Amino acid sequence: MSRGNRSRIIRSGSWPLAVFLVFTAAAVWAGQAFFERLKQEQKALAASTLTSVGKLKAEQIRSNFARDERFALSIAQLLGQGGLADWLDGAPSEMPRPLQESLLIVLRNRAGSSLLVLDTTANLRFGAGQFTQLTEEGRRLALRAMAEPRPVSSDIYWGDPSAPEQALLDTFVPIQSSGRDSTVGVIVLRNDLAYLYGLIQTWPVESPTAESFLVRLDGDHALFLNEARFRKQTALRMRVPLSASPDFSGWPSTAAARGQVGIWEARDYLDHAILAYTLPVPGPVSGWGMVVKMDLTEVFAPVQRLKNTTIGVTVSFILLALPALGSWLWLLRRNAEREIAERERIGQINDQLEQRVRERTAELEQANLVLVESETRFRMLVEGVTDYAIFMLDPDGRVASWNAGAERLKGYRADEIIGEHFSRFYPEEDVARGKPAKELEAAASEGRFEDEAWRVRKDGSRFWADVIVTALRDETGQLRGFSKITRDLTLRRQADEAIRQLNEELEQRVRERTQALDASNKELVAFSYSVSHDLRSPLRSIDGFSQVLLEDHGGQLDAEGRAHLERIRAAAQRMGGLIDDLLTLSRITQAELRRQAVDLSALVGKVAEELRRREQDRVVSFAIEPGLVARADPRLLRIALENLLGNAWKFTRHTPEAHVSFGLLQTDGAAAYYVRDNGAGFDMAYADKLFTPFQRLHSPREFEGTGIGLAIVARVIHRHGGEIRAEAAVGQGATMHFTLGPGGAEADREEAKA
Amino acid sequence: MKREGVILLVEDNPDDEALTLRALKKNNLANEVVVARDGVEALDYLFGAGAYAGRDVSQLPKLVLLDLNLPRLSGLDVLRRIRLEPTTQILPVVVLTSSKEDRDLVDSYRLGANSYVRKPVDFVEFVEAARQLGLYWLVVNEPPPRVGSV
Repeated sequence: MSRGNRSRIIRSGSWPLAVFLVFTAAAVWAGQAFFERLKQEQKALAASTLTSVGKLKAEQIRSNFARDERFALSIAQLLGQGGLADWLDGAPSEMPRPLQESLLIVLRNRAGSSLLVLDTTANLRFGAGQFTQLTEEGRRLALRAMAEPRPVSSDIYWGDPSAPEQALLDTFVPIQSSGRDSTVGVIVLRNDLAYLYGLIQTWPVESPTAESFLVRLDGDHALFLNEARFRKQTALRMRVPLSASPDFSGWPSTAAARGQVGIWEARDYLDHAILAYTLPVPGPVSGWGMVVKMDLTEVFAPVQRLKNTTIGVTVSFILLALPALGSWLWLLRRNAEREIAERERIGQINDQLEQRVRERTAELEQANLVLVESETRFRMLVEGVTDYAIFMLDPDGRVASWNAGAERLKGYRADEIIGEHFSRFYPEEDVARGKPAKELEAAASEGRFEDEAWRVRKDGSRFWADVIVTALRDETGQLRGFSKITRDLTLRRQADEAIRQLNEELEQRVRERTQALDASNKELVAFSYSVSHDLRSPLRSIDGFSQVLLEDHGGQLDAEGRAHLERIRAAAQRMGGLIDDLLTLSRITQAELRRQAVDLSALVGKVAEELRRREQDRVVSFAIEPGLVARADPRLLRIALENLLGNAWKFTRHTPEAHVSFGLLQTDGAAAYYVRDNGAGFDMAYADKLFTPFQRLHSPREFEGTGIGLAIVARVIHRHGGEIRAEAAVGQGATMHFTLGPGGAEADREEAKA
Repeated sequence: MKREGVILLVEDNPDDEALTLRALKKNNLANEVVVARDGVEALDYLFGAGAYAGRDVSQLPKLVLLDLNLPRLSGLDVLRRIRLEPTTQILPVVVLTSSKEDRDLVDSYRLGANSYVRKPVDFVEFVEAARQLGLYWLVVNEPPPRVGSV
């Protein structure tokens, strides 16, 4: 494909744009001409409307005044026939009642009118209605009417000059007496012009700008005779100089005042461009003209609307057409480019296709080779497996393949089992229950089935087997058969059985051991009991009879002999204490721990009180932190506190100001209770011996004791899961710190009381 | 001064017997003391059997001091019998023993012992205990009326 061809195809897409532009220009020009013509036609139509309306109104005004004049004449005629002439001739007096009444009847039918009667000298003799005054101008016009004699009209004037609201116009009609054939007076019919103004201002159709008004010459001005539609207080007030040029505001009124007839495009008193028609009006006095006008915007409004609509539609059309045109051009261009690209591509694709066919063929050959290899390897692998029986079943359950493991496990050779149904591997009872078929069904529906059960070898012997059956399906989901993997678990089952037996034996031995322990425990309890009871009896005898000896035969002994007896007694009593302490120690070990809320502060208080009571001659001050409540066994804790406080009491014996304190101390983030004294203390080097039974850090000569007390305390604390430690220095007192284990958290004080 | 009423001391150990008698005597408790050396003997005395056949059993002792560890019939068995028999049901019995096992304490009170006193090793203390016992049970305490007279 040559480059020239290519650009030709692309260029051929631009001619529609040129055509579009030419048509658009032509349409604009034709449209403009068309609208110009429409405007001229519209103007002609408006002019004819204005002309018709003007003529109609002029005729209405004329006939209105003619009617008024006729009316006045008929009244004058009526009055001339009655006794009016005599009354007018006579000295001024009230008009005879019948005449008055007839005049009032006449007036009643003409709302807003007034009626005056003048005598021949134009003096006012009777007046009825709203306005009954007579001006000098009025008298002049009355005399003129009588002199001519014919009806004469005044011009328009304000009924009340001080409040120019009501415009009036008088018609003077001479009264001819029918009897005398002469003028006897003048009747003045004074008309309110509201009706006339209404007539002038009404427009036959609804129009936003159209109006008509009367003007007359007033010197070198045109004077508006009535109120303009769009400006108030123009009647008898607004003037336009006659010398104004035709483009001056309100110029048409001067044309009307001059009596010109014609259609004008000019500017009105509002300085709007208007279309006006002027004509003279044959009114009651000469020099009246009328302007009938309408704004040019209204004249052209229909054309303008049409024009706007047309432009709108056209522009919308163009706006819509442009994208379409653009899309069309783009499509043309794109198609051309595609055509080129397509032709170029097809050539390439052909080449590539051939290349790929060659490659694919090579790949397939290679894959085939790999597949054959892998299949061979896999088959060899499966066949070589001897620990597992791996074989295939067809969908009906007949053996389709057989490996070495299967042969070893089940005893069949491949050639004698292939094609046989696999149910022969099951014990008779399983076959009777339909188990083989059920397993295949389960594998077919679940995809896989696992079982541990007995299977039968060729020689009829049984083995415990772990079996996995897997359904084999092709790509379409069609069942093609099953693979079956069987493992001999007989050995494992035997091992399991051995373990089970061992466990049972073990349990039996545990039971026996427990029984033995229970028995020995009972013996121990019995032993404790006999220690408590039987070991003490001789001691009582030793002590008792030593005392008897002292009491009964003390006189036969010297001081030394008596001292020996006292030593015997002391030893017996010490041994009694030892036995008691040992019993306590053993009881603590055996006793069940029963935790409850214990008020330690109160307990310490009680023990202190007991000590004071026992040795009332000693002075020891106690400081007990109040409100310490813990969860502990109250009996065991009492034993522990008795020992701790007893020690404190004992070891402060040689301290001048003995002081013992109890409280709770936070150390290293943990809270520990403490019992502190300022007594003899001890060397920390021996602290590790402190809690061992019979270990004493002081000689009996210094401080008495069995050496079991702290062992008891330590056992109580350990029973609670707590810890105890000592802190001391020789001659500086000792502090025993202890905790009460995880269950000993501070309890509610109220609970402790309860 | 011979007080009215007999004290029945049930005690197998002759040393203890001698010491107890001495302690009572030291406290001027001059009641007649009958000693039974085992449980059977104690019951024989109370119910007029064996060596005591024909004894007027309506004459009950004022107080029984009962050891627990006795040959043949144990102290607790004796106590049980005493409480079973209508005639001795309300007889004051004070257990006087070496044991301070909780079990013995609980059993004794459960079977209706009126008091439980542990014999201390220290003879001076024992004399004091005997003094308090005698003072309470033989002097201060008002004994129950005779069963027969109720």
